[in-house]
Amino acid sequence: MKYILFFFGLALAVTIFYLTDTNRKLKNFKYSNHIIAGVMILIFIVRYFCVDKSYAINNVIGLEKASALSGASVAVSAFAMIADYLSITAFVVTVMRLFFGRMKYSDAFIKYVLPFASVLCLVFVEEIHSILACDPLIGSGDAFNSQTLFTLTLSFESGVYLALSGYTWYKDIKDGYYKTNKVNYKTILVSAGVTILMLIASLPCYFLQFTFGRLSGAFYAYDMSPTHRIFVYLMFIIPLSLYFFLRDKPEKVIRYSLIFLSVSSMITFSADYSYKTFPDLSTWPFHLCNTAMFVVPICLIFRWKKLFYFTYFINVFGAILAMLMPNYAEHANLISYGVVRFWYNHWSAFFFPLVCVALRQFERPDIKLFGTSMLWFLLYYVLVLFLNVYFTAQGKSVDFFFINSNFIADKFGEWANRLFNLSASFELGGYTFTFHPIYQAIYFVSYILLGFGMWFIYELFFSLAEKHRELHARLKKIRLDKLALEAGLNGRSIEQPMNPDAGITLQLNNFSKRYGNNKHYSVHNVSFTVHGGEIFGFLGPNGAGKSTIIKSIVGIQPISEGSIEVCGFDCAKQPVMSKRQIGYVPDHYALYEKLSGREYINYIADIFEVKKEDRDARISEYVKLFELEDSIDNQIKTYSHGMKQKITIISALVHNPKIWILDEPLTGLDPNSIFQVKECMRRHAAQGNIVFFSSHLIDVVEKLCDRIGIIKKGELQCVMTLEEIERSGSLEDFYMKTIEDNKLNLSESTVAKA
Amino acid sequence: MNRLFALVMMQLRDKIDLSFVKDKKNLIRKIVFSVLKFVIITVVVFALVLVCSKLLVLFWADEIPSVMVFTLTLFFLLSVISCTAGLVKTMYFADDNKVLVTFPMGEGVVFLSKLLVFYFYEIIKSFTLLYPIVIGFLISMFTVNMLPWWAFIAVWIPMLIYTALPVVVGALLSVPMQYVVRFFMRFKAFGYALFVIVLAAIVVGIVSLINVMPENINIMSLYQTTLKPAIHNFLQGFQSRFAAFSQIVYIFIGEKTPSGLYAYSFTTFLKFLAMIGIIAALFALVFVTTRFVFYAIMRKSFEFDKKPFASAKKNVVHSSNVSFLIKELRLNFRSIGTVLNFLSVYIIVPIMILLMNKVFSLLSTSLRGDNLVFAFNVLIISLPLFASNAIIATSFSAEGRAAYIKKTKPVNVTWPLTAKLLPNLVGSLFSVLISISVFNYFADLSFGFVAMLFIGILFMQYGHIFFSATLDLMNPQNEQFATTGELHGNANENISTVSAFVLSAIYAFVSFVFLGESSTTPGGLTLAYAKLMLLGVIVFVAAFYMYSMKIKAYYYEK
Repeated sequence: MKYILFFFGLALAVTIFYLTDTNRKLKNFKYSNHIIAGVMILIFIVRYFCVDKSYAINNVIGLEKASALSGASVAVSAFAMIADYLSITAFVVTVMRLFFGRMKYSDAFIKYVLPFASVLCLVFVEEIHSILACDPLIGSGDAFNSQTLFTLTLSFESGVYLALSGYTWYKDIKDGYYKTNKVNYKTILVSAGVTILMLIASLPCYFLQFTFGRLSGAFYAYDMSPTHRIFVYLMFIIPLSLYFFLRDKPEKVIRYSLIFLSVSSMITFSADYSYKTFPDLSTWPFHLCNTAMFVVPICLIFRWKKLFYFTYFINVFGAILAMLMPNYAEHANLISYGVVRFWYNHWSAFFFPLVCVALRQFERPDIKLFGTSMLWFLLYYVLVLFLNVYFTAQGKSVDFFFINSNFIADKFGEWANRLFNLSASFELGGYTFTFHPIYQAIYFVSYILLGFGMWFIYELFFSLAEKHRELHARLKKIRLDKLALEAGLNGRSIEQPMNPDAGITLQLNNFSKRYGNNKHYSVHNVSFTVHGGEIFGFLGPNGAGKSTIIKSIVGIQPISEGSIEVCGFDCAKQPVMSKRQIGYVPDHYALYEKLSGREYINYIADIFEVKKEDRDARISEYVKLFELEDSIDNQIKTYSHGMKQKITIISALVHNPKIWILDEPLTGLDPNSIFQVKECMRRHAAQGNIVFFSSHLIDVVEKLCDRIGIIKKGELQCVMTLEEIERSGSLEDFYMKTIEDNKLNLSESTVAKA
Repeated sequence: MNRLFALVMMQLRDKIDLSFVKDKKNLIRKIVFSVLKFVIITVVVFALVLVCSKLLVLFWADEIPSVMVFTLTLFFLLSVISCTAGLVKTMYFADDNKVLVTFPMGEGVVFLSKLLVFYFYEIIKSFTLLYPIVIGFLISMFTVNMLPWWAFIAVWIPMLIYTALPVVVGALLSVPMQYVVRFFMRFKAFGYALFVIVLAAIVVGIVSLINVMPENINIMSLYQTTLKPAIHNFLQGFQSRFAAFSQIVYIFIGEKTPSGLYAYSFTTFLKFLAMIGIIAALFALVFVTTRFVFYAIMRKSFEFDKKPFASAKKNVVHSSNVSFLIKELRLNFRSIGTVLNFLSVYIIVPIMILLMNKVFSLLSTSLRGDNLVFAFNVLIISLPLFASNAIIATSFSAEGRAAYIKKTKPVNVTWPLTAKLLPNLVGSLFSVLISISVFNYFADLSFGFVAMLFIGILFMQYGHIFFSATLDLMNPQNEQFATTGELHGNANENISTVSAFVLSAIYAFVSFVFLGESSTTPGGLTLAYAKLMLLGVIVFVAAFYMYSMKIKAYYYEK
């Protein structure tokens, strides 16, 4: 019979896969795969819950016991356990495939593991059932014998798994996948890693106990013992690893992974539920952390935002407490069903809500969402309160959320116990219903306050995550820029200019600058070129953007849009080489006041690697020119404003830069020094270099410059030669008119030259 | 009056960052954290008093006012020192004097505004220490029925007024003190000499103290016969000798009634008026004597002294990497403040270790006690070292605008920035080495254990140095430093200090736990030291990685 079902499943699945792939009508019907998945889910539910595993969970300890209770040999029992394990992973992978379509790495499981899983399940289906349902009462007339149902459903599933695997192989071969995609070691390793992770996530909680029995030695996972600490460390390592592993992956992969993990956890958690336990509501998983096992997958699958924040604010804190003070039998064996299930449950309840938000499946909550989550909490609280009271009245031992006993009160001492003992009772229908109103009200309010406190902790955590994400994105961009630079250089050295034919030029191409997240541009779309031998004056009112442009050229601040080229070097991509070409005099002198003038200039000369003979000659020339002979070896803090400005100018010229940039350079200088600076500028340009300076002194600009640029409110108004300007009057008149008027129409020649 | 108000508000806005007021979320966070800080300190003081009076029985509950007198006197002395130092800087050496001196106002108004701003600032500071401590004492008294509940409300008025006392005393002392500061600024050699003398005196004093310590102290037998009466006599003697502070405490808590309860009375009110009178008189004295010379003194700091002609030096060529290092060494060693900071931390830590271990070596301890001594050693070595890294959290910003110029130079900035940290990195190395050696003189550990402990603490310190440096890189304060020449309420410094406390406490606690566990497993001790070392290395690697990555990603944007 099982073979008939197996081949029926195989044939049916192959037919459906083929038809949905080739038949246009079925192909366009987007729910076809969903219907198949729905059927698979129903069949799995029947298979999974038709067996009452409670006896096995309590009695199967190791393969020898499994063998003794099931009648199969130890070797067969081992294969049966593996088959059972794989059947759960296979089910989740298959259903996920039907919803998500093909995924690169999880397909490895479908192609390489699924056939193996399918055959194992088919061969050992009876033995699996014998182990899981080894209750001696079964067959005695006291219990339902699920063997037929289990065998038929799993056989059918096995057929579908094999069909899915075979069809995937067929498609890949037919579509020439292996011709176009070379399999490399990285793909094999990642696929193997993903397969192992999938298997870990879907590990049935009873598997370790059934297969390996009990560990020898005193391993216990409570009271902060070393073993317990490892479990607690894992509480942080698991979500962090998940976050780091998934943060760069596409949205589809993140969603697939989270749903896979949460659904697998839900299934493994539900192992001890069966048709027998369902009718009794008191056995249902209403404990706070238990609810997370169902709420998380539901919220992820249906993107149910409002319910999600219930688990986000309430479950996480409960899970932390539970993990720090695990509530299972003392000296419980480390790999026993109860311990494994406890940790699976609470790790999931702890990290899923956090990881879901960190990976942006749900947004960071606002006060409204917090309020909604507390409303859900209220509903939950009222429900468990009444269930507790109702079942206790019926003589059943229930303590959902630990509000029906003094379990938590005990941890706080006598005063909490006194509060707990303030109880109120009433009788109805022969039953006595008992509440602990004060204790239960304080419990509820405390949890809300803790939820509120958690909000602040989350904010801290997520702001760290945000910062980390931003850092990661920036580093990635830097890596990509470097690759682009190497590509742009076409095999030339990184010390070669991007544009080798540029010569001595300074070129701005559609340069724009915004500060931080400000939407407003401080400088917008500025383009011009300055050539060797030119003195270029930059005019504009205060705050127009002159210093912003200069600071971007010299590298003090990054470029938002466009590019700047210095002698062919790209400022953003080749910052070191472009800065080598520049000497910069800032608008405010910025010196190390405890160094002497000579020490400072030598420090700058060292940075620019100026040879001894060159620096000796230049320093002595400029010191003499600016009359600093008596003070050059004194500490800078003893200098006047003008002397400091002179040191700044000398240090900008000590390496004889191809481009000398000065931002308001003449402020505070005496007339003789002003004259000498102007002479220096003329001489520097005459040597074929560029002198680029901004100033408010129109007279100076008029006498010195070959060309002039005027900027207003971040927009370049014009770039013109002095002759062009003076055709219509003085520079002062032209400047005043330009600043008052809107953007001028540039003459053809100016545009061409710029 | 309007001018004074405007001047005070202007200076307050400059000194206190109120940007959080505009952001509701930030405002709530700030309020919550401030209240939390206040509550935590209060609870800690309350717990300390409780432990000392109930558990250790160092003093009885009715002696709490005497302990309060002792604490208040100690705090007053510290406050006077801090206020004098602060006022010397704010009054006579602040960069904003250059602007204030040009305003069309009398010297009295400028003087008064500076004093008021300092007083407000002192009140804010007191909320983080003095006030919660006083409230902690009050709670201790309240819980033993020595104080009525309304004392918690009434105490605030005298407390706020009392805060002015160290300020006016400091203002008075700041006049002669600024001459001393000027003298040491002018003749640096005297400053260094004085420091060396003080340091030598401390070392000699501590070593002498260690030598006179008797062998085999039996604390338990001495406790009842000698120690407790000595504490009792000390508190009584202190209260009678420092009667003024006893009266201030009575102003805070009221007079003792026959029932043993402290309550406010007419005498309290008279004492309160007397305190106000003393503060007002001191203020009048300061105002009258100082305001006339205030402008003259503060102007002096603008006038640069003509330096004698320095003999011409030669230009020396270095590689850029060496040049960065030489520059940092020059900047560090030409600043007496930095040198003092280095020396005080790096020399005092080994001395403290010496003293503490001598004391512990005289006591007979169990294995648990030995582990506690070990943890205390770890704490005493790491806490001052980590806390001294607060200066690292301002090191790049303290370059002012000169730091921007670094961005214009054709170099990878990681090394120039790291060179700035090198003096601290090297200094820490020697400090930890000497401290561990002193500790080992008493503990007699094997070379392997000493090496592992050394690496663990050193790398922890390096990790914290890079963490503090990263704080400054990510939230630079160059503009504030360039404008005012100092950094007020620098959040980076605060975070660095708080993290120093947390990190050193955690490291000490972890070392206690690891050592405690080591006795249960064979080879456990080696494993415990290896884990301590590994922890230090992990913290260092993580901090250095974040430091270098953040330089790469953000340095040019900040």
